[in-house]
Parts: sequence; structure tokens; C-alpha cells
Amino acid sequence: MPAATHKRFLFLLRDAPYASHTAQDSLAMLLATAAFNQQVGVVFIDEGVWQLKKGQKPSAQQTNISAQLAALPLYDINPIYVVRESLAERQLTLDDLVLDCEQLDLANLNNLMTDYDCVVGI
Amino acid sequence: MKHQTDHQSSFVLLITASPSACSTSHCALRFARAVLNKGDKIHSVFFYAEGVQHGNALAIAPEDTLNYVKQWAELSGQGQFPLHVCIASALKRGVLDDNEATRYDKPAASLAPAFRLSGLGQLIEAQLHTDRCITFKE
Repeated sequence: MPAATHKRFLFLLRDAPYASHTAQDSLAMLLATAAFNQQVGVVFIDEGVWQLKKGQKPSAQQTNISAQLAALPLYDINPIYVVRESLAERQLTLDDLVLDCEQLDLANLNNLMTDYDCVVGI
Repeated sequence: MKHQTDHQSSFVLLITASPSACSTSHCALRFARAVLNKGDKIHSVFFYAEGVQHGNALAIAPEDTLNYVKQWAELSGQGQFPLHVCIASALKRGVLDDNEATRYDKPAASLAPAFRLSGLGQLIEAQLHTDRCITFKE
């Protein structure tokens, strides 16, 4: 196919912030994608919603993920969704999060994904 | 095969699973073979996070298991596509080419010859050039 210069990328972030390196690796990937002038949207789902929790105090050897996420709007990354059911299951509300997010019903995730050229979840 | 180009689908494969942890590596290899057998195109493979171990020439596969370095090298030759290994993920895990081994004063290089160290830009570039990016994760 002919090369596109722009595509729309949707990142699904579903891993807890410190249980593995996956959250950090996903973040590196989505920031790189934004740095290449691509349109990037993000969905926090399942354990991934913990990445947004206020009040994180990781140990000195770990990078504070929520501090990095708080900067996402500065990179023109939007929309930023958080799955309503994932929050509710963990007894979290939008007030517990470091970022202003739009709530997304799980039932609408399929539709959202079809709006994007590339859906990335590692 | 030139006349088929218009109908070919093109893929980039993103592999984040470790070759030693699960069956995902095997799935990725079989998927890649199926793509080529169908006459479709693999643009490139990008190894990220634990996936970079696929390019570790110093790993020794037990006799009754697949040698991923060898399998990917053969497939990449057959399908004429590059095997990109994320340099940031690779350096952390001791997967080094000659340049990096020298730069960091390490006793050996470990990246297999068919693989090359690249940046995330290669993955994004590949995503812009292909119909689909297929991720193989644990």
C-alpha cells in the first residue's frame, strides 16, 4: 500500500504501573509515536487504570509513572479515555486520577477501535 | 508475483514476548510463515521489551526446542524483510552488536547477524507503510 504520512494510533494501556516494565515500555512507545507527529489516543483499561492513581510514591529505583502521564496533554495526546467499568471494579472515581479523562463504557470500546488506523497494546 | 502487488496485504509484526517464557514466539513464527505462504508481505519485524531476546545469538536452544535466531534469520531471508531490535530494550538486556559492545567496553557482541539494532522510529515508520501491525505479547 502507498505510504501514509499520518495515521491515527490508539494505545490500550492495561497493565499495573509497577508490577512489570510493560507500563513504562508502553508509555515510551506512545510518546515516540506522538513525537513522530502522529495522532495518538489512549485508553486506560483493567489494571492499567492504576497508572493514573494520585499519590503514587514509587521507590527510588522506579520512575513515577503518574508524573509522566500527567504530561500527556502537553504532547497533544488526546482523547484520553478511562474505562468506566475498570474504575468502578476498583472503587476508583475520576477524582482519584492525575489526569482529566473521559469515561468510556466498555461496550463502546469496539466502536472506538474501528475509528483508528492502528490499535497498539503491548 | 509483481502483478499481485495490488491485492497483497502488508504486515508489520511487533513482538514483545520473551522467547523463553511462553508459546507466543512460536505463534509469531507460524503467523509470519502463513503470511508468506499466502503470498502476502511482511514489511518488517520489530522486537521490543523482552522480545529483543529473540536476537540473542548467545542463547542456546535445548535440542528439542526451536532455535528462534535461526528460524527468524531464514524467514527474513525468504521474505526479504528486516528484523529490527529496539536498541533501548536491547542494551538493557545485554543484546549488543559489535559497535555497542565496543562503545560500552563489553567482552562480546551478542546480536545475531540477521538482526539489526533500531529505534522506535522504525516501528512507527513500518506502521505507516503497512495495512496491519500485529502484536505478539505474553
